[in-house]
Amino acid sequence: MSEVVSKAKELAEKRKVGMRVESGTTKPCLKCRWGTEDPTDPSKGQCIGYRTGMGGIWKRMVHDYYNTTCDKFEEGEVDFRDHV
Amino acid sequence: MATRHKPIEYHGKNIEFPYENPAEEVIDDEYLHEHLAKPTTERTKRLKARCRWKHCAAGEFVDNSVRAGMERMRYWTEGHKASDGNKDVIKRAICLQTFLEKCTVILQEDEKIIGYHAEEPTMVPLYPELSFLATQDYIQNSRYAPQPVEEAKEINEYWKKHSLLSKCMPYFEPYELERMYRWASMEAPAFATGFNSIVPPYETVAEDGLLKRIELAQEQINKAKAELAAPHWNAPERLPLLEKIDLWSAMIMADKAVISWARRHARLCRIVAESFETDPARREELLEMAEISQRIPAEPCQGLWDCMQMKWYVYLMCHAIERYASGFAHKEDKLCWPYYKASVIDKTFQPMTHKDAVELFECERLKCSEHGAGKSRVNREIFPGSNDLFILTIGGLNRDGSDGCNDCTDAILEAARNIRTTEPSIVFRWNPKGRLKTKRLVFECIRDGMGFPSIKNDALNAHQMLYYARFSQNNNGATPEEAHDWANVLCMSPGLVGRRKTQKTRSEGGGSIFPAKILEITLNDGYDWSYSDTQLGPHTGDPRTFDTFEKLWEAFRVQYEYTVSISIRAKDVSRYWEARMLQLPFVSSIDDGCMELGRDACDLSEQPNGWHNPITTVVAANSLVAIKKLIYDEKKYTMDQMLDALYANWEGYEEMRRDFVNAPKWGNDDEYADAIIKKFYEDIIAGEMRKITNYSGGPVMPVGQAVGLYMEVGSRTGPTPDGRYGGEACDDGGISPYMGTDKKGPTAVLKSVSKVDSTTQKANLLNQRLSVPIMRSKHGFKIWLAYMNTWYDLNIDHVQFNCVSNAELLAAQREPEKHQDLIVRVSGFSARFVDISKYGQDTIIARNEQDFGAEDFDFINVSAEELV
Repeated sequence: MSEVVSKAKELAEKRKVGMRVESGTTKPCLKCRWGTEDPTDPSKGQCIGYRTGMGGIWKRMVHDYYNTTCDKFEEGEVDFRDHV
Repeated sequence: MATRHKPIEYHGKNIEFPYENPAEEVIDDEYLHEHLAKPTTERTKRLKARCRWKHCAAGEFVDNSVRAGMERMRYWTEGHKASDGNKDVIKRAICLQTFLEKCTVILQEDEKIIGYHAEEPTMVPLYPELSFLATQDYIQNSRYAPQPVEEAKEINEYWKKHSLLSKCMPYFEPYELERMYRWASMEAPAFATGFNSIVPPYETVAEDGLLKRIELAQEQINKAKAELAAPHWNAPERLPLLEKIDLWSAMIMADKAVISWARRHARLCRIVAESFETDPARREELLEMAEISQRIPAEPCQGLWDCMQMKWYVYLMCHAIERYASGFAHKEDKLCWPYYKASVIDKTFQPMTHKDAVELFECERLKCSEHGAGKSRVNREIFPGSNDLFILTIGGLNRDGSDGCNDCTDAILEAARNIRTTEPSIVFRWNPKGRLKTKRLVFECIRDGMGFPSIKNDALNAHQMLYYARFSQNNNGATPEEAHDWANVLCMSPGLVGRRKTQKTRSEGGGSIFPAKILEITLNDGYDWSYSDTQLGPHTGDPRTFDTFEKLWEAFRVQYEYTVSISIRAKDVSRYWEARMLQLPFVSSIDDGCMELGRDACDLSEQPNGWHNPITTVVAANSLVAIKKLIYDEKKYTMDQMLDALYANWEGYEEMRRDFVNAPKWGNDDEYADAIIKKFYEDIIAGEMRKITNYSGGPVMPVGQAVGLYMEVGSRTGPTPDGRYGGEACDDGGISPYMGTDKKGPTAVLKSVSKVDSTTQKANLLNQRLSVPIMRSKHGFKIWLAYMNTWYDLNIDHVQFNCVSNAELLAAQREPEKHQDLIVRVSGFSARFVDISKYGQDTIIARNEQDFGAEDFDFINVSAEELV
């Protein structure tokens, strides 16, 4: 693995800030208002909860949409106006 | 009060800009667009007021009452199961037949054009035979899942073995599917999303009628059977006839089913007229509608109402029932002209006035507005503020080189201007021969802020049809006359229209790749750290070891080539299976080529039309310019330093970011930037893509555009060396400058854009935003016309305009309920502004509003005398 890829992986891990897989969680991204299905495969998802300092939405991919959770879980649906 | 443009000193004269319509001077800037709709009749006013809009945004339907219907998936599956044992093409005809026999038919109050494709007008149909993933997305959504949901799950399970997706998946490694599915560096293949587009050969139905098409298919079967039974059996020559006979038989089944379905509508109209309708005028109208649907599409059209109803039935078949397909591709003024002439001018059939014709076109616009596409989540994300990509084409030249604009063209434009709906968008083919009267109407639509017509260079695109014809595998591509018969297939790419040779599937042309993300992964040896945490492309090395800019350039080339190749491979694998298990018996029956040659519409490609859409090119291009200047030429920073700044999303590197932001940018007639970016478009974006040969035997060319992907991809792309922050939107289209970075006026943009050789690209979208006070002034049309003539002379492919003030956009953000008629151009489509997310709205507001100054007037050749 090249040095730049190692660094990239380290950064990717850092971007997950608190996202974790908990099999059978009752608070999956699927039910979170900041979660939305992956564009192609609905068993995966996208987190739109991360806002940049400038207010932009910088999405993070959720590889297991049914079993991933984080401490910022909020049940509900996001209004399209708060989305991309 | 409206803002009036300040006077401009020009060649010693003081040019004033009073409003063309003085009454507008008292309308507040913030509410201008709410004063512009003027439906032609009370009927269309009512139809608009009760329209069940199906706009999507952020992957959802904006209107909460929209649901997925069950009928299409239920009856299609029933047909599929019942047809077990038949050849695939016959199975497809049986599926269609089953649906058309059993589906609910709908007639709504006030409608003059009828037909819907789901059991209720608030519903959208689903297509599990295309992609069970897309259907699953609906099923797991409690808001609009089809009911009963258990039945939907069972049906979707059935298609896991039989769908296009299941047929195509085995030809890819799991990691390849992962890379494609992410929509980060490339669009997911159509076999996974079910997305498609088509150009139906409406002309055969209008001119022949389906009964004639059935006769033709039967004649072909008879001839083939006679050939089979002829003396001296020859297997290699005659056995292929078996498949053809199957296809012709399927065509007959499909056409008969469509005629019966239309006649069910006729019966419904008659029943309502005779038993329920109390208004005598509407009763008469319903009886006339019954008579039309009894005759059409079985028989040739004779009047304009026939033609409009025929078009809607054929549209539903080709775009919504036999298979989902986006688009509304046809050359509407040419197709409708003989019927407009019969009804409005000669009054020989369905006599009507020009105003009646305008009303019919408004009715069609409202049918499009109410139409609901059961499309996948991503396709509900990437056309925000609209329902689907409805795009029709008008103008240009006729086959004999005469002006293609006529009174029917004007009726189409008047309808668009009067009723103000986002759909359908219009493409106007700009030719110097085009009549001024029609160009004035084009201007009025643009000035009124519709965002359309978007304008394409007529000669350039007709020439392109001839270029593609060279690659025809049966030497039957466009002739010089036929090359004039083109329309945009979707937002930007032209294709032939007519009785044959039209594009039938998106696996021929369509799909996208994302250069901004490709650059990002090039800087990380193919790894995507900022969104998906996966290796998205090949290993092209650590950029810190690239001691020349050329090494970075070549690494990008490798990543780009990889993305293009896998994308086109996926399309052709789709095409292989489309031709074998997703045949289109109805579409085939209305194409003269398919009828003559006995080949399915998915398979036959007489006119190659290969294209793919690079989206976010300008972010990548501006980034390369900044890297070359600051790292390789001036050596102000090292690659290492730049990567650290990007990894920190520029936080703590503000001064460095300012340098990258201030590096030369596209769209300012800057020699340094433009030389690099011209080479980028021609050498890499087009150069690498054109090395590909697709299913049809032709090259694949780039169609630079954006749809709403510039937002979606932006939100999945980390910070970039043009100074962009992670998650920020990318450039809004093709060859358009990045929002807010074109700082030297409208003519500097034209100069930059004209440096790229248009013939190297298939199309390239140019978004411009014009000053409202200038365009609405008494000089607006003269200035715009001069701008357009200059644009044409510079041989630029395309241009489209937003003409709306920031004051109005910001007011709509504050009070959306008061701005339901505010339309904006997003990219290749227009959208209702209040149906877009704030993220998307901000990208429109951030675009530079191009004002005109004395230098611009000089460049576009407007004389001071004309403006006094």
